[in-house]
Amino acid sequence: MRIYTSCIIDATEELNASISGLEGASVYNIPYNDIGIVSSDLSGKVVTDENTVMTHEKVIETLMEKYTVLPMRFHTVFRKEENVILMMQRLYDEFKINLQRLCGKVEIGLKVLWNGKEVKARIIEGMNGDGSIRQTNGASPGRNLLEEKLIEYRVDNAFEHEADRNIEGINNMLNGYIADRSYKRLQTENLLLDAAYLVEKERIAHFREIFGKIRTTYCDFRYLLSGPWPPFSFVNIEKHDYSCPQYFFFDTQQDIKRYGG
Amino acid sequence: MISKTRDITLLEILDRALNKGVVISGDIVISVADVDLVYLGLKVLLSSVETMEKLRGAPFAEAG
Repeated sequence: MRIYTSCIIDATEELNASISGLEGASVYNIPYNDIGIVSSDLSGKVVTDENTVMTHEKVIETLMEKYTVLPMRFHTVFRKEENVILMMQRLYDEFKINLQRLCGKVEIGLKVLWNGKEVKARIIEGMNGDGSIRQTNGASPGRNLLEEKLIEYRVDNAFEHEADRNIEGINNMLNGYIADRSYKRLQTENLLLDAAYLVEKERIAHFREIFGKIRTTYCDFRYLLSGPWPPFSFVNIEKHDYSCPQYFFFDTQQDIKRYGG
Repeated sequence: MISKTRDITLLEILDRALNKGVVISGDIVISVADVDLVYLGLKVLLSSVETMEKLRGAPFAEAG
């Protein structure tokens, strides 16, 4: 029987609620020192489909109502309970630090979209107006090419500057309401901001309130606000190189091949 | 037609559950490789919210 792990919690007690994990199996807590890892027995292979991912999330969300949770990445499976305990033993300090840092907090997701093409068009219009873009009619093809590249470079720079300015504005409005943030900017031309914010549970309403103001202030943008989520984006566990042959940490597909996966 | 809310929720969950949290590998190596392969496929979809918009054919809206 293999062990499917859902999350680390800040408690050693048995779980009161009846929670079903993958394959409909009951989840239970495996205690280690003063923390625990919520797991369930797994008889077959995990099918990586929509339902199993949703079940993984649902288990963690249910536990999040009562405990501080460190969500495990989907599909973290161990051959036997001894290996789970070994992992807990080796990472206990890091789990503990993370649990303390994330106590009473949740993650809220925010995606902000703008119309990248329109923003670039406005930038080019502005550059034409102030003479930043010079006409090169009659110049040699080489000169024209260089000018085009230079214009492209300037437009891209201005575009990124505009993105940074807006992101800074949004983040500044949220600053007093969050404990931490993690974000990526311009993953695509239109995806201005893809952010996760760590928010104290008691401040979720305040966060939503200030989000309403952001929508008003930046009314040309479109938004996707989601959550509260377990704090997936704020778990900070360093990867370790274990020499124990029964316990490997794989970083890449190359590592998996090297160790015979 | 995909349910808008479920579609968005699933994408948000996938974005988190497949790549974030306590990212260590258990000792069922083949399964981990499977997930990574699945993830590579999903990443293409997840990398663009715009793709989601096109699939749905409706304006992007607040989900939560």
